[in-house]
Amino acid sequence: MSLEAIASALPTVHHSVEEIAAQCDADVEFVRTKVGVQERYIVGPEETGIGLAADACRKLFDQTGLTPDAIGLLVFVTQNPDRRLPQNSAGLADALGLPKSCASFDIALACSGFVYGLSVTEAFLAMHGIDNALLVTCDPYSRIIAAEDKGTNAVFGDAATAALVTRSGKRSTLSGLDFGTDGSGGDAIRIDAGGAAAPLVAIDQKEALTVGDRDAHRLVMDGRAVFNFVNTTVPGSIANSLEKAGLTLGEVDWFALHQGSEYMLDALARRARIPPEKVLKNIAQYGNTVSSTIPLLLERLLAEGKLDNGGTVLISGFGVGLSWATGILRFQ
Amino acid sequence: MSTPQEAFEKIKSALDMTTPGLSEKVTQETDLIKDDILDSLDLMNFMFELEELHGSKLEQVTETFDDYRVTTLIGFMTDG
Repeated sequence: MSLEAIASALPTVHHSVEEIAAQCDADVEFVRTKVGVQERYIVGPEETGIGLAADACRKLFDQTGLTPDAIGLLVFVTQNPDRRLPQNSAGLADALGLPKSCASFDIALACSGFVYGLSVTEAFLAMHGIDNALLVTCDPYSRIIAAEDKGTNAVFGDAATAALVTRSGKRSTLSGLDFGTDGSGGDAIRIDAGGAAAPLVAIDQKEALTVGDRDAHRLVMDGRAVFNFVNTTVPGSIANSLEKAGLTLGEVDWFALHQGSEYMLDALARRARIPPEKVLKNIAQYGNTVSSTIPLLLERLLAEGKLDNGGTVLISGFGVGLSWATGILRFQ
Repeated sequence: MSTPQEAFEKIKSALDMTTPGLSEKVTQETDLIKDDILDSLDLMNFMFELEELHGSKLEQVTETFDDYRVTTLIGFMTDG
């Protein structure tokens, strides 16, 4: 089982740090140096998550020489599908022209989604004897953020990634997986309405469909609760993962940790005693792209040839849920 | 439960754990936000460190809490 290659796609709307700060009345230097975002991309009015994901998949096909008919499994990680129904994976399978025999499903996870997705994809390939899978991430948070909310608008960006995972490849192995969930802290990152418990409109009120309170439909993030969660839980998950993989901290070449914010990333690295030079970062270029942060980090490592002679990368995603997942990728 | 002086020392330690040297800028009359000692991200880190030193969560400091005077925090930490 092997993660073989990764490609990505960015949407067309670009924001400089000055534009981001102006949108939410934030201090430019605060966004640049503390949040760590210097620029980001978000989807434009005509762009969709499926469209952006399709762009990433086509780049992956170009990069690997694979064709759509070679894909036996498609897994789409998102909590913001283009429509409530049907699932994004079905729309993407159609957009790419994948065979109708291709298995596909969505995984509704956010920042922990890539690590979970990689584990699920590998297990599915092994269990069903499928050769090639696409693991896709795209969660366009710009569509659920209030522009004036600096706690979210100054943090997030949009992106899509596509990873090729194969049953017989030798490029990498995944081990030391550590998962966890603390639903008691789930309110820390939430959207209150839009689900079945609080629908967007009251469909049974036939005379007038009423849109609920705007605030109930936007992303709300309690930064302090998230900070506390990350700093109390994730260092332990990293330690557990290393122990399961039989590795020490010093034997890991790079740490591809979820890019919540530069400040949070640095605080986590200190608490987990990770040498700063081993912590990969991309929040300056893209913002926090939710489930895409880790594959974007891996894509850059691969593109720069830093894994050509092998290497060990610890990957750890954590966020909405509260959910976390950590694992070790060893490249040959 | 801390004495007022112990609470003040813990606050200063948490400030220095957030940014070394920060404790030298505060007295018990300082407002950590209004006097520009901490920004919103520093505040998260400071409260995390302070609650660890205190040994329990300061329940009064909720999502909407905005009175970050040192003397107020000391009151929470010494309030039996």
